Amino acid sequence: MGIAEYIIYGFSVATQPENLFYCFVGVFIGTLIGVLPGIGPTGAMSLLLPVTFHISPVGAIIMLAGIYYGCQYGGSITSILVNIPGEASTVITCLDGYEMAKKGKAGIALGVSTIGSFIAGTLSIFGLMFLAFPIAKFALKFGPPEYFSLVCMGLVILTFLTRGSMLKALMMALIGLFIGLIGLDPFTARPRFTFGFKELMDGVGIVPLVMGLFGVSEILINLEEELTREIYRTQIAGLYRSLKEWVSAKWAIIRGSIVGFIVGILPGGGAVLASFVAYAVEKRFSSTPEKFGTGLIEGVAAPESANNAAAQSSLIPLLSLGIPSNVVMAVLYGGLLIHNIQPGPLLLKEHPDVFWGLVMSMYVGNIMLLLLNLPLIGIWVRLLRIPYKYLFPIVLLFCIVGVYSLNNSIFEIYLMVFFGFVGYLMRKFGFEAAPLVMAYVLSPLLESSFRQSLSLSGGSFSIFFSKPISLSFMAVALFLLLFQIFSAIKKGRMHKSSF
Amino acid sequence: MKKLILSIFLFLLLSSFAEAQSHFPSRPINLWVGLPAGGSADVLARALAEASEKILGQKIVVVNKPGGGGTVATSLLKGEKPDGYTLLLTTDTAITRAPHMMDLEYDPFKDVDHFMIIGKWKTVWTVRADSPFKKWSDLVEWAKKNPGQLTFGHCTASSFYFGMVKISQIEGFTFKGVPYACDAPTMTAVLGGHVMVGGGTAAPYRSHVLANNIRIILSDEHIDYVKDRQYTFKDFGYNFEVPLLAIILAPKGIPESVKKTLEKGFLEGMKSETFKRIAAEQEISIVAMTGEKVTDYLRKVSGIYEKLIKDANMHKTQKKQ
Amino acid sequence: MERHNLYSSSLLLAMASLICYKAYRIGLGRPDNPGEGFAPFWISFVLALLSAYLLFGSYLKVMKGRGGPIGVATWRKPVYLLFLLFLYAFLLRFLGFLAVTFLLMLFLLYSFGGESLRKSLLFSVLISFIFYFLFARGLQLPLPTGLIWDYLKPG
Repeated sequence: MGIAEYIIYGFSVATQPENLFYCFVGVFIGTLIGVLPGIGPTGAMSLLLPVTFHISPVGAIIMLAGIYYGCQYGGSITSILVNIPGEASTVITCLDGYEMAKKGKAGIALGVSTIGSFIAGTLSIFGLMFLAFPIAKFALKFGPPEYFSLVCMGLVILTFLTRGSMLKALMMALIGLFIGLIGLDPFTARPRFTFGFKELMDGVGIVPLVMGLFGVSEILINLEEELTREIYRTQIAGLYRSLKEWVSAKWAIIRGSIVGFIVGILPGGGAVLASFVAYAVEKRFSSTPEKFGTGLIEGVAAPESANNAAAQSSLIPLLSLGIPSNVVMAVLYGGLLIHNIQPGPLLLKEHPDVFWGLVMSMYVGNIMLLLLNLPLIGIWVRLLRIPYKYLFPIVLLFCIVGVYSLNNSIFEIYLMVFFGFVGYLMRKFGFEAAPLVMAYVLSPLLESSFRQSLSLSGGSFSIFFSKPISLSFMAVALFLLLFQIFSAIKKGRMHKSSF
Repeated sequence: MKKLILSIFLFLLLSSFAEAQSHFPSRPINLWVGLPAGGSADVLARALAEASEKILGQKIVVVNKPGGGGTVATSLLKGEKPDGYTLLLTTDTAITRAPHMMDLEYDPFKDVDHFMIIGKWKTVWTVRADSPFKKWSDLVEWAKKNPGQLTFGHCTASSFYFGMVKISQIEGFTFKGVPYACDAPTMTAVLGGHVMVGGGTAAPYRSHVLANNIRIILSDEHIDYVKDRQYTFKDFGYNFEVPLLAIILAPKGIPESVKKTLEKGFLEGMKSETFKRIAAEQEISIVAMTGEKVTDYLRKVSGIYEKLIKDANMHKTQKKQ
Repeated sequence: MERHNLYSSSLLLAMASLICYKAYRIGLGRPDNPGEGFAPFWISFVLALLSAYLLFGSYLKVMKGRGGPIGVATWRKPVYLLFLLFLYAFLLRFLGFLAVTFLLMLFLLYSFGGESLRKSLLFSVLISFIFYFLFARGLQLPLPTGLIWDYLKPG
């Protein structure tokens, strides 16, 4: 069979009434989970695992995947409307999305997020169809030194994120790196910097960290003032004006999709890292980088496209190599194993219905999500009319239930409240949380790849420069760093606003 | 303010409606899993719950409480009521290995009941298809000639690592261990040729072995999916155990009658087709050990690992290098 | 901001120095086998340097009289909420999800929102029950049921 026949075959699998139903259930649950702050896809997917014992393997996997990418659509809603991320992967959307909402452009922001997600989803499905297996082969060339150099490049990109003082951003990044190291040492399995809490052995979870730094701290800041917060103009802009704005974000969407697709393939990163990198890259490309953070549509379009592209491209290592690259993929892997489907090089031969059915169902699912989400925008925007004194307790409660359900542990609630306090202080003292979170995501990979490399090379640093892939990442990182320092000196930013 | 306090009190009273308990089980049973959702142990637990709840006549709710390889859940279990409604499925790491490596809040042999052992993961040593090590003996020979040069990818402080330590002691070679974040990353390292040999559980490798990307050169027992001639511990006279076990723990002091009911329910459930199929797919040999034997066996395994952990200089009392 | 920076950088400097010392004690390892303390040591070392730089700079400026005062008047409500949330997490295990959620909602609506007692009661009962049925019943999340009820039950 040629590729065209496979596509038709995949479509025929995906459009069977049964599978259409599971696809809809998946994306619907995904959207809901995405909207609820703090509640992520992992919990819902593992809850549904036993349900899939009784349905067909294709249906099961279509539904589980639908939850994951459906989540990326819903996650931006609370980010934009109330400045509280619905998912860890929509943290960065708060920066410009909320500012847009303040200017009365909530509808446009929500629209570009949905349309961006749809375009990114479509593009990465094509990537998945044609490139999955070659890319997976190439990814295997990445050993510890390559990952170390790649993460170094990521850390340089991180410096693009900041709006204010570079010095303070670097300090936050270092704290993020440190938080990422808390927990059992990856080499000796001895607890490190756990402050006597057994619950910290597996490290600080990203959800309590993000929900605390962004969600709880936002509520705390708002409480300083009287709770009669101004209600933003909520009318939806005319279709023509909206269209014009959306079209202006087309390159941001495409760049975001590409960045997201690439980052999504890497282990550990997934949608969270993708959204950060896409935002930083977009800012670098922009002719008006200083306007980022003031409600620029590109600042919403790029990360929202990236997280959806990444959600779909992270399926590549799973399907083609049998390697789950993040927690959500691990649950999906479990779901496949239950049905005796071993993802990996034989998947195409042994279960073409699963691979092509899944890929095509994602296309169908993305269309469903577009149709589901566009009409909902009007309703979401109306949520802003709920008085804040009712809104904030409910949002808080969702955060609490969400972090609790991660590990079914009360400790996570304490952790979220603690980071809420830290985030509050950070805002008070003029520190940004975005560099901290991105560094935190990169930190474990940075350390373990460094130690693995040196262990392989017997202590010689030449291992980072003797391999072509690693060397080129190092060179790009150095180039970007010099460029960044040069432009900072030119603008006098290092000195003027660092204090 | 009086009204406020009164209403609070009323509400609290209302929400504590009593529920008579006559026989076990009269309400859903919580089966904790000490490891993250979607992993091999989690899937096994869900299969067991699904199969056993029909026999016990009550729902079994699987609750993931991951952290520290199951040690977090074990510490929490210590504080639970021993009424049979809270059980923990985890690997033997929390009982036989972790206590030697770190200070924990529980005594593995005093603070919890070792309820049963339900399975054992099959362990494999793998190389990439183009590796010069055609057989296990090739690897041993090369490692002896090149001391400390053999790179071995493994999950941090796992049974696979200590198994390799044991083998190297018997054969008289030294190697360089490179820890990865368990099965999937280790497999990536083997596939990408970043390490010469990898160790892990058998299930994830199935697809790559059948596609001739990876070869299994040693395993602790027979692997069903391998078509070629395979070499197990027996072939090399390795008559020692370094098992990775799936065990069920309970809070100390469950009533005997409750224990019997649960035992019967789980043992029946383990005979079901669903459970057998899922265990087979995960390359887990079903063990079904109950009663006193469980504690005795775990004690023995713990002794084996304690010695190996000391030899690897990873014991909690040892000075770090 | 200068006075703010003075405080925040002092705090960070102290924290970084402490981590640095701890990491050194844990052990830096050898080049071919970096130890558990290696990464924390260097990360906190650089953090300490940057904090010192910020501290020094803002100290100079505050000395020149350029730092404004720090207001504390607005801190009351946020601190109060933080306290409530800690209390919530603490009581959750003993009283169970339904009861503590009701209490939290009551306090938030009554004392933060300035609602009447009747309205606050109504909404708190409503919200806590909706959440309970949505998550504990609907999604089957094992939310804490409260240890205290186990002891109050007859038998």
